[in-house]
Amino acid sequence: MSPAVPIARALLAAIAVAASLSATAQVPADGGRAQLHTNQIYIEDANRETSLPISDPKAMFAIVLGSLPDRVEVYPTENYYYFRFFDNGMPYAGNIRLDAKLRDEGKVHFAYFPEWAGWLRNNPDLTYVILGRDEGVTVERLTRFHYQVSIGSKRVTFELNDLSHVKPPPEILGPDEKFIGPVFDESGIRFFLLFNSKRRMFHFVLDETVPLADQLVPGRLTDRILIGTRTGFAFYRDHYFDRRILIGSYLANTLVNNYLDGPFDQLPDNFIEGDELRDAILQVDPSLAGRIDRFGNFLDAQARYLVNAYIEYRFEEELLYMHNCAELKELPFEWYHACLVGDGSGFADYPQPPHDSSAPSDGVPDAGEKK
Amino acid sequence: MVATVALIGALASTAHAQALRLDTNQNYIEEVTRQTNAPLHDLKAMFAFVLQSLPDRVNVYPTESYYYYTFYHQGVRYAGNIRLDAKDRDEGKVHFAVFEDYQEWTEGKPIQYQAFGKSDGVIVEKIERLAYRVSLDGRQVEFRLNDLVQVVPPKHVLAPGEQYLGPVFDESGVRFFLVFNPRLKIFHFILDETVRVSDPFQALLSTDRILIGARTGFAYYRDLRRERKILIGVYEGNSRVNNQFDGPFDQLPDSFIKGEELRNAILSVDPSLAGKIDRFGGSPDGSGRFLIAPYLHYGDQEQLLVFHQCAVDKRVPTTAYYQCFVMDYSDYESGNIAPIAFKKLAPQKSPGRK
Repeated sequence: MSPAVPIARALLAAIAVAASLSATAQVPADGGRAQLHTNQIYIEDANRETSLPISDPKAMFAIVLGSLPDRVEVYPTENYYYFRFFDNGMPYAGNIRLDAKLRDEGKVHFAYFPEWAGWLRNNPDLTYVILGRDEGVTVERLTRFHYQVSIGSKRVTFELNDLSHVKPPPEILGPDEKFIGPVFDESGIRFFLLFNSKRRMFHFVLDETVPLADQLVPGRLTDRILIGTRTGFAFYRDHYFDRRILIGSYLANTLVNNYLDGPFDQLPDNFIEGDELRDAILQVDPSLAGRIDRFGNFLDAQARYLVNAYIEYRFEEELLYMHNCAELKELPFEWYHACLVGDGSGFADYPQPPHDSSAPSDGVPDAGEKK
Repeated sequence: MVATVALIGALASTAHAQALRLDTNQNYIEEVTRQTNAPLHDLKAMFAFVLQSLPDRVNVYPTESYYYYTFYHQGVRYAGNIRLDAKDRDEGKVHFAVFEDYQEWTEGKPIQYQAFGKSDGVIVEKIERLAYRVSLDGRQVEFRLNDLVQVVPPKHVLAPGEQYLGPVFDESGVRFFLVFNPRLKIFHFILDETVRVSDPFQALLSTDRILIGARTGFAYYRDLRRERKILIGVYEGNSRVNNQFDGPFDQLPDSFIKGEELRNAILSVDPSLAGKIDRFGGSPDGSGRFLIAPYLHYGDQEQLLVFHQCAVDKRVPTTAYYQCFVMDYSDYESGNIAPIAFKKLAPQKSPGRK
């Protein structure tokens, strides 16, 4: 779930160290009893009368921080600590963000907004502030991945997700691909962000070095397409490498900006080495030279470059053109993975723009013959 | 500087006094990534598992007496319910169901369901009129059903001739009055505003007669004739995935239906059901129930305008006004769905949804 709309995506974007991650993969000490969520608690929460100072972001920050335990873990790699609450029946969503760019300057981002829903006219009615010493908020670096945030007498230690040792197995990388960094999505799914310098395109490749917090089910149309039962994420089972590439997120989830809206908003901010991400972006779009920082943030606007590696789908059929493209037997290996970037941008240099009737964007090879 | 310190001190004390119940992404991630054990292939063991996970005493709010729950297991969300059905709870039966939760992007798997009783080692004891104790393998949980026996609509809420059938507590947390109009042979769910409605309203841009509940997606028409809100719409996405906002069709006032009132109302709508339904409107074998869903499953707010168009349409007879708030699904297969009052006009003039 990104904070809200492009402006917020730009504005805002754990020691969940290896130890804590491996802990999630083990059967817990309580025998692994699943936690029940009941309609009783939902109804009682939704009907509780509250008197929150919704129009006062500093007071809200104090309340939110005051409602957290003394130590929390921030799993998503853009360092958002997401939360939800009810205010007199109205569901709100929000986040505290220890942005890689500003946290060492003693700043923390704070945002909240009425939760979006498919049935509403969803206004970007976002309350957003950057808080620091001037506002009575202190952000103190304890270690590289530990920050203490304080207001008044309340202190919370935010443990950022230390994935610095996470690397893709070498055998799943193509010859022209570079690992940009690990992505921990707010859905609970991990990816490797890769850049293909030859085709000038990005991929989110499923990280299968840890247990998958979802169940992938083969699609109705081809078993090359796999759909996540919980997340709705659609993956393509690569013909050449033993890996699954994210090709789709479910549109309705993107529209309401929930936890399943895809990993575009969880780039590996803490793990980008030097200018690797900026250099990759500039290979895709050289016109951005001098206009973005090393995270891909625009210098002259509250926006961030969109790493657009998958599509938003409603029906599985909408994913099929990628499979049809990937199955083209005459398509050379060096072009194969361009089929799996939905907007066709990987075919920008394709030498023979084909006469295509099935692909949704120019330049994608026709999906006629199969291997 | 002093002022700043004082302010922060005040904020901190407010925070302490007003600790929010936060639902955090951290908890979500830890739940979905956790390795769990749930005996999904053994329904009785699953029932025991759920009972073990509940506190000793729970409140069952929905009026069809379902206690709903969800959980994550191996990264997948499951849903289910325990039901103390008015029809057979006094016979020592309890209904139990569990299933992989519905999502729009997947084809649902079959529901696992079983009615348990003494022969299964499950004891259902009546403690008082609306309180039952359920026991299995030494575990006892007391289920307090929602006592709404005193709930009646204010006089001004009922139109002349309308019959109040009972209170509805929907699993969304919203309360309704189930009302029957014997002359027009139609049902309405009228919003119960005798209690606080925890669902902020958003009016349509084109008319403030139609309101949408921001939390639930429920759509209401502000009756032109009386101070009340009639349920006219449920968001179809919620209906498709069968979540708590799928509408009150599945929360009839079972514990509060007087005698034959509901069956008589249904039979006046469809006399062919005589001898085929019980007093709750259910089929004798429990496999089906008469559907009371007079509202539209809408995908877009604009679809709701048909109710307002009907309500203000001069061609609609005054006596048929309330038929503007009941959808006629009889021509569903052809996609011609419209309020009953519009359907009664010449078909070519009907502005119903195609």
